[in-house]
Amino acid sequence: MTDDATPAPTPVPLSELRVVIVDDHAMFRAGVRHEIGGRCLVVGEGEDVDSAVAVIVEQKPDVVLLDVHLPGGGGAEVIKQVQPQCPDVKFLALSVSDAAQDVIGVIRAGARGYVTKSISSDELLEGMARVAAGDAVFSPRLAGFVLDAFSGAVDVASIDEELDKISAREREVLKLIARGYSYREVAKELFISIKTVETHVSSVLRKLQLSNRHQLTKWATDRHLI
Amino acid sequence: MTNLPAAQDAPARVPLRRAGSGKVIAGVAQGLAAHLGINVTLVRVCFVIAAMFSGAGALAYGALWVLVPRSQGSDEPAGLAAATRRGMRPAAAAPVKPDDGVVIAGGLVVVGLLWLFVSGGVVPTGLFWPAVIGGLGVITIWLQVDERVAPEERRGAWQRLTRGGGAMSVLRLVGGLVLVGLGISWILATQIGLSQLPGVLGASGVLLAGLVVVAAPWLYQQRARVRRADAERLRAEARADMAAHLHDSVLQTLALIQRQANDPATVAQLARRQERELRTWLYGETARAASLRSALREMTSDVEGRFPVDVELVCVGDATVDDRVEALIMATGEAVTNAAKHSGAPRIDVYAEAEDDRIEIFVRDRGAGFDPDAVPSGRMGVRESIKARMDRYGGSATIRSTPGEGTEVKLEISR
Repeated sequence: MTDDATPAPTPVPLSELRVVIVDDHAMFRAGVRHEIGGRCLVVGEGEDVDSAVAVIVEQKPDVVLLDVHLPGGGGAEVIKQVQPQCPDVKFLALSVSDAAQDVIGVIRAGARGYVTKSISSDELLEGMARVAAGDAVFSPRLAGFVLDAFSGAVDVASIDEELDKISAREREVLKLIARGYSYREVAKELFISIKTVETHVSSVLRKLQLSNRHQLTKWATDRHLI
Repeated sequence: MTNLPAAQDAPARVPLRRAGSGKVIAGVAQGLAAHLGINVTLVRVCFVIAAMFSGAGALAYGALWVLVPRSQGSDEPAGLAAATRRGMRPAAAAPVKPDDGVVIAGGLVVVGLLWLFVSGGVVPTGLFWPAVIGGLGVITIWLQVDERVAPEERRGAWQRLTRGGGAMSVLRLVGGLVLVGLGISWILATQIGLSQLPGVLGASGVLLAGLVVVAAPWLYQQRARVRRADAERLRAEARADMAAHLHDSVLQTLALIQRQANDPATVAQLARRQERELRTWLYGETARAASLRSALREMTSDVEGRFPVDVELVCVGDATVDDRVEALIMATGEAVTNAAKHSGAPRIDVYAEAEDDRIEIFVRDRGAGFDPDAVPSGRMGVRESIKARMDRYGGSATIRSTPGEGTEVKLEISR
């Protein structure tokens, strides 16, 4: 397995997880708050880019549930504005959008995962906990988007040639996730540990987030890969 | 009720439109190449060669530039377009600019040609410079003909000057007129004598100014009217679209739900079906002609309509539907129906991947499962039919199932 240079953040118990919900529909925010409010701490809500950035910077939550479409530039814009100030805040994209470009865009900006709004509250809580612990959350649909992007079938303007640097093993893992396997099942299928599955997934995420050749080169140089 | 994009035959020919991206000058060559189905470079070379013959290529290019409408870009689903308009999606990357090298090379060629004309004495020196100035004026005015690029915040001074509306378009018009007037007066002056130049210039200047002053209110009104009419038409179209769609699907479903409010299963089924349809309308990819993707989507929503299950479809890549792909889709439909009928799982995952050399589809449920060895041969009907169908088309079907853990069917054909 690859090196674990970054120390794993100490897991926060679910009941103490501080969450900010960002969505432009008040009904949806109320619904999510109702569903998860009893089992974690919802510390704030945002309805557009400005209000979201303000509340996140003020509250410094563990996880932000972030809508992809937001007035003022979309979810990606929120991440861009928050990250320099609060690098520890983790974002989980939550959207009804089926457009690969939007989802990939918010992942590239730095979101750690993507779930659809039809997700059950149990799955959502599990996803939040996983994101808070530093892991990535790949729904089958996100895995599909990513595979599509890597195969060049999706024309995402911002995607460049770094994307074909996904390894065969990572591809295999993504494919199993797209087929509806859980991480545990992926691990069993490929005869590897769950930790390794997580490493592959995180590495795919990182590759997606490297936005240009320069960054990729720097990333590789920093790790003495070249 | 499902008016989802069906698999249809690919249109024979791309309509003639100037390309919006990847263009070097105005996208004429690219549009033409796409329309004729030939290589862009070939079209460009043709234009350049034709330009050698008294500028025929350049003329043809100019004519096509003016006459061929600009491509509107890919048609986005209603919901995504709306989100873009309301600034809820990050702006797309800036359009590709022509390479600096191309611009410099073009400029050098033009300068060289001018030099050739002047030094070769093809055109009398007295007429040459005024003709160039007049020509620049004409170009400045004709720049207006090109439809304006969508207003974007990130536009340089040049873009604003050549494409901007309002004051810029007036400036362009006046500037162009002045240049044309200057050229004409110069020609006149050389004919009548240089000493007359100030007088001629002054006279044409006054004439132009008078024309502008007289025509300005009319021009202004005309512009305002066109803009208003455009905006109104767009709004009306959008409203009509929305109303038609809401009426056809959403309102009817809501009515059905009200009537069957005491039957939760039906209500859930109707709602699910409507959600899927609305989502496709709002966010779905535009149906690519004859695509595996749209056919699978239609199939999954059909199953969702008939059984109380969610079918999660993930599709990577796409393929045109021919006989073999058709068979694959039918087999997938049977596998999904089977899972919906027998597994008891609330959700079925369908994953399709079209690669260059093969198509794979996985249908997975987390339902009851079964022991493949223990199934009596008589009960293998549907599964056998899936296998037989795939065999006929040179594909394969593999079924993995464990009691209590669910079933996964893998269907595969090579292309």
